Amino acid sequence: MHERTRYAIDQSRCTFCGGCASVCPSQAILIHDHRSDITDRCSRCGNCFRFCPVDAVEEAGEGAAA
Amino acid sequence: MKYDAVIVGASIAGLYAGMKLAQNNWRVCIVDRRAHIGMPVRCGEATGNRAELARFVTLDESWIAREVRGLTVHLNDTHTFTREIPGAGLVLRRDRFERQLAHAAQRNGAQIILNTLAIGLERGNRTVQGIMLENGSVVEASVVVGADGAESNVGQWAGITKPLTLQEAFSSVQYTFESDFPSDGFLHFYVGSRIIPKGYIWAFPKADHTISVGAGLFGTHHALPKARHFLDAFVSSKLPGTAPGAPITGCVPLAVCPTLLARQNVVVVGDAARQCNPLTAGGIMNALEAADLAANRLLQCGRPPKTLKPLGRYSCGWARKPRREQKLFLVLQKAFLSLSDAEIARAIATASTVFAGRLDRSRPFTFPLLKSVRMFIAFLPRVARHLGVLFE
Repeated sequence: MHERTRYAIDQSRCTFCGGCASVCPSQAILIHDHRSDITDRCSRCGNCFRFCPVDAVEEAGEGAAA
Repeated sequence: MKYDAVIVGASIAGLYAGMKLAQNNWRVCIVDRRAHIGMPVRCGEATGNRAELARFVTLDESWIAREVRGLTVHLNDTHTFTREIPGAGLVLRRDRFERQLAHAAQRNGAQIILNTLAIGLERGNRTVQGIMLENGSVVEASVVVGADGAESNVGQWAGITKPLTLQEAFSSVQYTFESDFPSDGFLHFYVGSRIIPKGYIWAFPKADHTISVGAGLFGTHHALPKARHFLDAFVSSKLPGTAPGAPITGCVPLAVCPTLLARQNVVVVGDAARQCNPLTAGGIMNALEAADLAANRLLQCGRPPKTLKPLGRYSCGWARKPRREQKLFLVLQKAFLSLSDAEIARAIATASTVFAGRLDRSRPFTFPLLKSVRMFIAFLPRVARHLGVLFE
């Protein structure tokens, strides 16, 4: 079992542009008008973390990979 | 109620297609996750000229911020290439433009549902029956149009598009604020490794002494900071004392659009179909062109659709010319990214001679062929390396 970093979105920094969702290979990110969620479909690839132009995606510790 | 078409995405491509279908008596429903049409504006808003826009919409001065007088490219504060171009284009007030498209669609009976996220396709035995909304309801429709931007969820659910790789995503950050710099009506582009490697910074004049200044990177590079780092450095050095406020961010697809833009009764248009210019990251004119083509083909299918064959002609029509042009721009983008600053300076000098004569985009466009061939030969080794893109 891989231990890979989980990610979470800091709502105070997120601009809800959907860029993270565009580069998410698992369609795991849901962007609303003023809310963004990483769902449990996340494969923990880190694309959202690397892409986010305002660094709103944060590493949220390790856990068992999905 | 069953609609003739449900459109996911109430931005330019979705609203235009919705307006056009509604004008032809289609029962149309447009769904968007945002709470307000046109807001926030995630765009530089520079687009084609009056004649080009008039092919699709009746011009209205209320959504035109200003005329673009020409183009200025700055390289690392050492070189500047500037050219006045009659009919270069317009800077829009995109929020107003989108609201006008929405009103036109609504006047013709289209329903617009805002603040609502589409979460999947409702599948029937053989075709897609509509879309599922997050609140658990289903919008039933004979055809589904995916105009949901770079995320392209509808396209992915239907198996038409793929998620963008980090290299295919143009990440951009923009501030809009009051300033007299630059107030000359030119679109200013800043390039060069000292300003922003692997991307460009833009400063576009808007109405009322307002400008938008943004930075975009072609792909995400592990060794480079993010676009915002370069933009903040630029703003503090060129526009000291300004308080830009909160940034607007965005993602533009740099991928070549798929050859098939429709599957069964699902069609994709605009950024969702990756119909953007991979060199400039512009997409407004492409979105209008694609939405027009797609809507015309949908109308040929009949209401309710008797055949879906015209949708194949939408794919073919797009593949014939715009997709080929897109590949050429992708070659140029890859060549640009491989150039050193000295080579960019040489390219700018060569471009200056190629476009030394009058470049007038308000009339039918003629390209200086012989000079262009000379320029192409000068950069052939750089360009040739990426010509494989044309055959993908």
